[in-house]
Amino acid sequence: MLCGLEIHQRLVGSKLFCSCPSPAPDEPLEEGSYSFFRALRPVFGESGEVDIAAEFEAARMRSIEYVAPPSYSCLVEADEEPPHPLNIEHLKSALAFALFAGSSVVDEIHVMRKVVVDGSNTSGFQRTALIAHGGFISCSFGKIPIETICLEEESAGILPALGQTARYRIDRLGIPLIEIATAPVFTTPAQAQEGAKAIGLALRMLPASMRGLGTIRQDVNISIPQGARVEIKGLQDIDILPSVIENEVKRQQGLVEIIGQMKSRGISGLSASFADVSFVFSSTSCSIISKALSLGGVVLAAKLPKMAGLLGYTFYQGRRFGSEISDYAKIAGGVLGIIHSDEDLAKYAISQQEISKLCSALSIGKDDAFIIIADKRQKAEAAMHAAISRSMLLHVPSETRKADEKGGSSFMRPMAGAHRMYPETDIPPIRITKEILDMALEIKIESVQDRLLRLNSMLGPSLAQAMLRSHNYGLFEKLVSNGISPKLAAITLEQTLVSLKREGVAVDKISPERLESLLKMAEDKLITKAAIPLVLKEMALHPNLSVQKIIESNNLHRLEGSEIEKAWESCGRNMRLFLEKYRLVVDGEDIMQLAKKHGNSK
Amino acid sequence: MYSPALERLLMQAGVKVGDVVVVERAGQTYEGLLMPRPDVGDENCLVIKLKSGYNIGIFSQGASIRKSSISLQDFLSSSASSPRRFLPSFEGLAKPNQRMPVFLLSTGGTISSKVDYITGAVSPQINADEIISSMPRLHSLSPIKCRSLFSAFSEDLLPSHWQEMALGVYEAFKDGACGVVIAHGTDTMGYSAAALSYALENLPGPVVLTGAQRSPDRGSSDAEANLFCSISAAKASWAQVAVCMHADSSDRLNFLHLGTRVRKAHSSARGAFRSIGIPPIGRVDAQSGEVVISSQQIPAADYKRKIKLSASFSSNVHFAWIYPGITPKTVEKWADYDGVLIAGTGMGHAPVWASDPTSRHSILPALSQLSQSGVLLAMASQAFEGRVNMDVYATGRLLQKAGVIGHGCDWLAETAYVKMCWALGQQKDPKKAAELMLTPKSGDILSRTPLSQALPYVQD
Repeated sequence: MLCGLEIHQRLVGSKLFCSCPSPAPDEPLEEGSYSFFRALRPVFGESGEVDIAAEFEAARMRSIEYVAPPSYSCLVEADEEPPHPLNIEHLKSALAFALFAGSSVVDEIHVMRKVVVDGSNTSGFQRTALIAHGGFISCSFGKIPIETICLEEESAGILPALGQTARYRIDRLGIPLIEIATAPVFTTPAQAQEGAKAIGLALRMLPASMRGLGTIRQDVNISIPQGARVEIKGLQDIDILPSVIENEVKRQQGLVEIIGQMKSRGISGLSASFADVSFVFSSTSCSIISKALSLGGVVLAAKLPKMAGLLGYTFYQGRRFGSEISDYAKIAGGVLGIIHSDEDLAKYAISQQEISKLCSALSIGKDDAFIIIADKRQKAEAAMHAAISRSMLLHVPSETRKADEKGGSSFMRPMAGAHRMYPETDIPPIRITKEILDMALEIKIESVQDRLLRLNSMLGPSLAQAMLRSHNYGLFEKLVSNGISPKLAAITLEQTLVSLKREGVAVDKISPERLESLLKMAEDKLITKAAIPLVLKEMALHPNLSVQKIIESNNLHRLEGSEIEKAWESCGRNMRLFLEKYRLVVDGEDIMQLAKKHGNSK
Repeated sequence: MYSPALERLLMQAGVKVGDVVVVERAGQTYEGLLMPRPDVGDENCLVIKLKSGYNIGIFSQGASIRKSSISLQDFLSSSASSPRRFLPSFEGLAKPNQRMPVFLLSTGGTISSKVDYITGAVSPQINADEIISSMPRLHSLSPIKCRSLFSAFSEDLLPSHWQEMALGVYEAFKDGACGVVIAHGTDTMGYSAAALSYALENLPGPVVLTGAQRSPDRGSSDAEANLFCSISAAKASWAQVAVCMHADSSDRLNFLHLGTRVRKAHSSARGAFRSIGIPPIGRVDAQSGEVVISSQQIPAADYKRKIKLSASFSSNVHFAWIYPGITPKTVEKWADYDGVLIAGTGMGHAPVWASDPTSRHSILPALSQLSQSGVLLAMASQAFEGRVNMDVYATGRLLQKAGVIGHGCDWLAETAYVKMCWALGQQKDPKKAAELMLTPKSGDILSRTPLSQALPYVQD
């Protein structure tokens, strides 16, 4: 097994090809967003051929609704205006990372259009530019060789479809991404996972890297001997990466075995045909079929000669050869799925009688398999064409697949070829001059080791590890540089806020500015550290009140000198009572002093 | 083009554009297709298309280049993906209509353009047949006959091109067209629509101009929807010159704009075209192709009608924009023209210094001089909408006295310019040409402007 990774990291700031701000990863869909509707067509690449992936998408062309949040999209995202020049700040970041990784930067950058016809780009293509080749990222088992570093634009965010209309939000469209593609060097799933983590961490060292859920994504390329290169996208969670890889290896091994069986049975390629067998099911109790028929649809069936038993071959839990064929049918024809002969047909309430009638209509013998698709004729036909051509294939197809959360994957589209690329002529090539490289070198990128050492000295090992990977690292640096002690900042960010969030406190209502002023007051000993969680809770509840106000109204000012003595007296010099009442407003140190002074009291 | 030095290097290495090459520079080796150099960027950088499809530029200094051992064919096939194809099925669409054909005349522009590796930009290259064959849905509207008239950016068009288009439409109807679609660049489509409105009288069927704001080489192009709507419109029963373009940003609805009342009102958006002073005369559903002609003044098609063709245009007319600071010297230079269409400010004004018309800043003496020497002068307004009225202010009255015509006309400045080219093409005598200009034709001069045009812009 050989496996390569593609890691995509979003950058903060404005979009790559216009001046819109990039939304935060968890930005809710803005109220008052506009909608517009488009249909995308396949286009002709430089060589004059329609790219296979584009053509495939077009075969199932749907109407697309784009939702345009006004604060995060303009005419550029709507494809109503040509792109503005490539944002030089983002180019500098990409170059800085390339130089950091020891990659060779190209002399002139050519922005390309990568054809994407699933609607995730309003233009019908993604703008992408190759910035550098080579270089490496270090990890525990050695150096991970980088193949290419690209700078590209993020696609639109998918929204739930409405019927046949795909829906996307375009606030996400155009956020800059650095893409790191590794050579296919990983030989075990665990290695690949570790590699992905190492590259992710290295990318985090770039000051402009965006942090938060979904700001870094990994695609994985997997191939086995006699198999094919398969790209799996949409891995939300790096922890399922190993099982995605394992399952893909099992799937390809299974396909290799199925192909071997097909060859030994004398199957030599596409030889199946299909027919309308609606008459077989005129009084069926199968609800899927009767529903399709009542809506004016047809039942199509195909005989797959000598394929008996193969469709039921299980690759891994929940994925059989039949599911592969079903994926093709679903995507090509928009049908709900297929019914095949290796399934328990009683489950569908298809009677034995119907099966015999079907078999005699298509002269299906015991060595043959069959597929049934019930839907509107046009959809069913398109689905049937795709299902047959997939089932009779004598090689492992090169595909782009979509990961699911259980570690499996399903077919998305054929692997796109180089025909998918043509020049973005609206943007002139950009010569990488010494001046640009010098500017890129001004962006300091710490190595992971150096940063860990530095954090260790400030925070100790366990907090240092947490802070190294934290989404709050940037804020931490800012707090520290503004005079907050590293430990207080790290504990507040990584422990206090985290446990408050677990309690259900809306900690996202606490702005970094208010957090800083709270910590400043703790540093200035105006409040005690023990009071911080309570103040934070109140701050989350009252996002419009100043920190000062919250402390006043909750009587949380730290007590000093005679105030402590007075409080002590008021509790009848009872330490238990005193702590119960004043724990949050008297510093630990002062309590120690008090205890020492009145050591003999209860 | 590469720099001469680089061209020499390529020649010495025995490689040419289109070869698979190996380039070594600074310790890196690149293998790929040698691409032509776009005329932007650094002409000393080799442009290589890698197997991945990416283009990169490699500075040629210190680089070595040689032919690769891989053949072009192997390179292309290794970069391609699996050869299996899923063929889109279009069988469910309506069977071709076997009645009279729509004629599609291509004239260039974005709609018939593709990526041009010489200029590094989009240029008009595809002809009408190629446009249709690349858009499978259009076959449902056949029969469609394609003719290429010329291939030009619309900003390069001359009044002689208007004549060529008028002749093309005339021939198409003579050859049995039920309607004519002209694929045109969008920049000056409004001018051409006006020109055809004047040159073709007594039309038997519709003449529809359309274009694209996004070139057809890209998935998001509006070309297909615009052509689908335009051809659908050309099959419907009405007879007028109109522009058919997106109503807004969506691929859902196209508007039909009267040829004499249409303006490109946005530089890049799909819904760029607006009817000025009147509502659109019709609309076409971009999915079903259903055509609704909403203006009752548009006649139905009648193929017994014979076109009266008057397609000569003067190419010696000036279109002058009035602006603060325009000098008499500038105006004097207009003496070489047969006519000048003045796009004046407000209700049709120009700096004539009404309180002191002989002031050295006043352009009135210069205008009078032009008029007396036989230069036809007509006024339109720079304002987006509204009527020329040169009776309200002394400025206007002086301009009229100096011989500037156009008083009372609610016409578009561009349309009025085209009309002057046409009028002077028909009549050399400025007086007779002036009469022609002031005679309303194809809805170009509004006799009344609906109140809706003056209502405040209120968002609902």
